[in-house]
Amino acid sequence: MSPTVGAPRLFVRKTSGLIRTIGVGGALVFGVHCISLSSSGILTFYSVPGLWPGANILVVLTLAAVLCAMHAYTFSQIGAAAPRAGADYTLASRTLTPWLAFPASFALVLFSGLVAGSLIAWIPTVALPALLRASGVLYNAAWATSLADFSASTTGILVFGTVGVLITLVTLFYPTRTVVRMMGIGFVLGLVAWAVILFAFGTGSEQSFQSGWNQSVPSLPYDQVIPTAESNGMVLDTSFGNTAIAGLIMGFWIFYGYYIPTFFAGEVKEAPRTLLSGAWGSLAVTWAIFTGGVLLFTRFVPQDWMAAQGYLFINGVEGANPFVTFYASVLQPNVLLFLLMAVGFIYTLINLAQTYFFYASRIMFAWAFDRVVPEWIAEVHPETGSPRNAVMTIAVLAELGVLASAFFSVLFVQLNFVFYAAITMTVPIVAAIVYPYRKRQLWETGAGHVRAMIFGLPSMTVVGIGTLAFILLLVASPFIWPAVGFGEQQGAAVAVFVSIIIVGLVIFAVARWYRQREEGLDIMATFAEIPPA
Amino acid sequence: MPLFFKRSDTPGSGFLRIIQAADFHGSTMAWRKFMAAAKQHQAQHAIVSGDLTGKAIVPIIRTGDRWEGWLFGHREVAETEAELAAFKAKIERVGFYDHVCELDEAKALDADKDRLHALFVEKMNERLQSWLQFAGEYLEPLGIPLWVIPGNDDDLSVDPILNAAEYARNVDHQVVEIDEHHELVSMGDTSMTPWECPRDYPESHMRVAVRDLVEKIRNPTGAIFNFHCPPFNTKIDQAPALKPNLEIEHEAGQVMMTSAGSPAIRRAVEEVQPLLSLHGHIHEARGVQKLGRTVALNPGSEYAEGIMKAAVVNLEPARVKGYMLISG
Repeated sequence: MSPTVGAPRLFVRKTSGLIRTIGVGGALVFGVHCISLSSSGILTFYSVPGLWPGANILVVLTLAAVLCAMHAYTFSQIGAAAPRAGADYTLASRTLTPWLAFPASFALVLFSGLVAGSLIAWIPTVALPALLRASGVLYNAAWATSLADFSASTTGILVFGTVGVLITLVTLFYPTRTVVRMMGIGFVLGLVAWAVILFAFGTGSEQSFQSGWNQSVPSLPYDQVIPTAESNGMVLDTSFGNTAIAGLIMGFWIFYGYYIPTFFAGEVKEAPRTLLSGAWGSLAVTWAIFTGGVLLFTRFVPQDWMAAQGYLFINGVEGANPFVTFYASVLQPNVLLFLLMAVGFIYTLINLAQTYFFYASRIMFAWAFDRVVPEWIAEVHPETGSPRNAVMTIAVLAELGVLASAFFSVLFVQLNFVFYAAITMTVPIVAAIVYPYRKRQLWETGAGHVRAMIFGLPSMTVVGIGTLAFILLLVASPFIWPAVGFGEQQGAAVAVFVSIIIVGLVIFAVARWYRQREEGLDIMATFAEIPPA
Repeated sequence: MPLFFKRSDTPGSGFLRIIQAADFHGSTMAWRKFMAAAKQHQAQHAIVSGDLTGKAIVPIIRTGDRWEGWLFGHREVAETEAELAAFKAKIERVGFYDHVCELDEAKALDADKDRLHALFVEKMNERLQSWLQFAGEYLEPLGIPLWVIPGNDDDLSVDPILNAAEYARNVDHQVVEIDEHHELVSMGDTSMTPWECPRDYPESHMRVAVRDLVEKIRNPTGAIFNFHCPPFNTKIDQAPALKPNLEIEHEAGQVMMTSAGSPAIRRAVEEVQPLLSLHGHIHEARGVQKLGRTVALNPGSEYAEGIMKAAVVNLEPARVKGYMLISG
């Protein structure tokens, strides 16, 4: 035992802004919101089995959670090393070069906006049809079934998706406190929806599900689901390799968002611990909810049947309804429980879009601070404090995401985003790997786990290399595995990405030229190290 | 560097360049970087907008032939004089003070507020004196004047130290001409904070203090406000909202923000419409806000990370030509 046990560790005088933490609970809630109980719930029950027939969903979720925990560790270190809005961009631009960091950040924000739109498009594509079809079946309402068909059509997605974008935009014009309260309500509604789902699965049985299904979907009886999928070309691959690959790719998309709390940390020396606990906590909570749901459901429905449902829906076969809310309503055809699920899922999808709007606008703020984009981007409304210009910019991108979802598919947009998000993340991750060496002095005074060591090396470097390997695999995945590929649009997707990077480079070059010519300032100085006198 | 980016940012040809920073809070690393930045950016004036002194003392307990202390949750053990010096340097870099003592003395200090305050005053003033001396030695040959004010966290005991500085000039509660076009209007007082710091005042005091200052301005068109406290309800005064127990308020994982600036200062900016308004105080609220014609700036602070944040501003006689927030 140390002879100084009981000694005071720090003498503090009365000064403003003394260090406080926001608490792990706060970071955890935000992380869960960013992961999204609704969209990720849909992915777990529909996309994973549908895209990777035969993959073990429980293993996929677990493997993904472990890999994402590594990624979360790296990003919590990035947030702790650069505790401010746009931490990834800030760290990369100072550690590497803004010529790399800005285009990468620009691409991430652009695609975050598009994905926000695709998430909103999930409402008319999945949430509303599931609600309306179930209503049609349960209450013999033909209008509801017709409306469900319209909702899922190209026109319906455009109409309802645009309305969703406008609702999201209008909500973000309100003061932050109001928006955050909306998100808080959404968190509760999301949990309630999942409580209903888990209750339905927990009280369900093989017999009740099969009879409920056959009554709800007479066009595709329970026993015909797997044979129909096989006749449509589904091949079950139960190998571990298939599951591992699904875990790497789909798992990342399911849990994407756990690292977003990185973007809030002020003058908080406990932030590193808070950020890491929040990110890991949100991973653990969502993993528990989703695996709990799968465990309960697969007590009486085989995973092969879930895979067939997903496969048939992806291939546009009528009667396929691979949605967790629909499964639950088949088991519990109760209007109140049904509404709780529907409202929870639709509301939290809007919440999820709001978080994308939030973090994308924060990154834009970081660009504006560095004078790379016009100041008006970072202007806030004098009364509400809402960053309206930034939010409207994201809304335009979100509308493009709705269009892409309508004319391609929601999944197409989102799988594209896995590629784009991953490839843009390589820049801050490389920055994190080299940070202890390129910014030695700052690293040495870093807080908490920024300075942690593994095998005598900085953990920022060691874990960063592991994270980079994971991310590079995600980047390569669309080119290697057709299930998550770009399909016929592979060339176009790569061309779009390259174009965006070029546009980012041009914006930076023009900004630099303009500031120098008009203001007599070289913005490269913003990113330069200043050695002490 | 390619010809396309040929430098054309040399001050003196039609514009004045200033560099401003605040909230050093005892970080010698940040202070020395500020000096270097003044030179690197060819500033013609260096302005410090308050909060110079550190917030905490790290007791380094001597036990036999070794020393132990804690920094940001890390236990540090020094077994040689060289290791002790390195630990002390690390403490200084993040803005804290060190105090080498026996275990009994550390416990006694912990129990005696007056004695601890006296130790703080000693440590703060010792470091401030060394900073001011260094600034003079570094900036005087470069011909860069240094204008300084205290901030709300600076104990009143620093005033004599600032006033006695040979090169730096304490301009708290003063209006001074820095060239033929620009007057610097400075004040370190701030609105009340939950911590009731040495220079926290009620808004009634702020109104009077600000009014007394602006009455002395001869040319508002070229005036530069240098107030530690930012104007109320702007992007540059947003701080985490606190509960009565001083914990940060948050909902749905989001930190709730609130305005911590001064309404009196906002009113003065809106009425006088100075050219530029320089601030600090809220470390997280780095940014810029236009209030009418006035460009209001808060460079923010990350002193504890050893990062210096500052604003570089190019000024024409009646216009802000350009600005840049730097960090390093």
